[in-house]
Amino acid sequence: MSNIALYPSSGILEFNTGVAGSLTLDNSLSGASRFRFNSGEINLTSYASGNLNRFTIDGGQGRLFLIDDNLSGSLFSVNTIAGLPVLEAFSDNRVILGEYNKYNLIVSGGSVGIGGLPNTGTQKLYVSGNLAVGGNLGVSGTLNLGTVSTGAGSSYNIGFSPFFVYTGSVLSTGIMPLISSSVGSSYFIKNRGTAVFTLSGSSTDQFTPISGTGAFTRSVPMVTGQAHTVINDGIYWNVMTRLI
Amino acid sequence: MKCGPSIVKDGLVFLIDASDPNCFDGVSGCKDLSSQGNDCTSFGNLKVNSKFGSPGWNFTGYTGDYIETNNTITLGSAFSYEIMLTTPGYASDFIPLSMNTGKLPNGGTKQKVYLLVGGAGAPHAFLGEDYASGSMYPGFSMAQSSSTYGFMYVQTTMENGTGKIWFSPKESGFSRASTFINSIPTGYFTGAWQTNPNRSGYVLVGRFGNPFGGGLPVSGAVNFVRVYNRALSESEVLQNYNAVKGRFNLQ
Repeated sequence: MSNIALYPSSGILEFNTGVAGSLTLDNSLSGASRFRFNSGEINLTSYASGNLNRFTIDGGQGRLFLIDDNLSGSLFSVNTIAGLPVLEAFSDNRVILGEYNKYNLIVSGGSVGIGGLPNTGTQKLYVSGNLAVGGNLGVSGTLNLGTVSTGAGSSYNIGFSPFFVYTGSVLSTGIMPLISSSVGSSYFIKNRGTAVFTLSGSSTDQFTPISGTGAFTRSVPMVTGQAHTVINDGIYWNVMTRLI
Repeated sequence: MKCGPSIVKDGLVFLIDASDPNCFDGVSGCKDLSSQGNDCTSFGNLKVNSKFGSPGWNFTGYTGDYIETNNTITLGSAFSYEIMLTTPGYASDFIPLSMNTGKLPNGGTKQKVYLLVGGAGAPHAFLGEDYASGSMYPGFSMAQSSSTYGFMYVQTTMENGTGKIWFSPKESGFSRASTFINSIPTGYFTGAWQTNPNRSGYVLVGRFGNPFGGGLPVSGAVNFVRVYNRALSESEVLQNYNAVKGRFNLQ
């Protein structure tokens, strides 16, 4: 049952659950929505048990706007027509933008993540994927170029870390990333094991000596104790060898 | 405060929506299915073999149209199915949504956790555990009392052996009529639903698996499908309904 009660002297227009035509206001506002004029202020009050929605606007394509009486969890969102948020703010101070579940941009615990969740304990900014800097990159603290990978098995893909140390005792191969997909990258590789560790180019990629101009070889064996720095110039892996 | 429709996201494992250019497959991220045009043969983690157009993906009976995930999805004893069928005039039963045991056209001898909709008379929905060799295994159904049906919005939930179906033909409102057990209006089904806990498979939309030329395929359009790995509450079912009712002029 629904009713509209008009109280001009009080500046109230109320929609309630009373008998149609009744002028009785719902003083408890237990099932009423009320427009009220208050010294120039227009106030809209809505209350209903079992329904958290307070103000909604629907269009031909679905719900356009909603204000609900829930102040925990998701506080605000802008959604696609499928109902998935492209912008969402939460009561725990998180803000997420972009494709749902992709973490295109997330602010969480004072940290920012791009493409993934940041470690709020140690990182102010976390980027999952490639990062292109159009201008200068200034670092006032220590510049950490990545973690050091170690291995003692028979085969490795070089490229997960700019530093790789072989520690094994069996003949082993390290396969470089494709030159065409890693132009400008460099790696420091060390054989601290007791067997030969051989670097190998992907596909038909080749190595060249740091002081030479032509192709050198498709593989570079490294004896125990040897270290290489290899730099991708877009054509070859340039090898700087150091015997210790 | 929310701008635009807001659906329940917790537990969402699969979603396609023909009205959204950034359709979400629920497996690996958002996908633009609409850009694939007609007769798509492959698309990311979804295999789309259906003509796309307003108001949804169109399926043409025994010609083999379907949408299928490339990855398996596992549902536990609690889950929710939701589907919007947007072409009126279904004349017979069909299975628009199921978990297929193998990838089409060669794999899959039976369907798990399948939803059957349709009926030449009063439209109805049936949620079943397994469908093999023409036999239907434990499930429950709800018959819609209205003889008017066209746009059909079906939501189902299953939890601890108790299934519920919500069924909304166009213009008739979001009916919460009694849930029927095998057409007998005695309450929720609580039978042997949990006897087969293995509910892992490829989500299949538009038909069911082998035999590829037979079965109960859809002749019509599907606008959106959602699968959750938990049972939605009644308020969440209503939230999802409110999010789309304006799009289809549902009450």
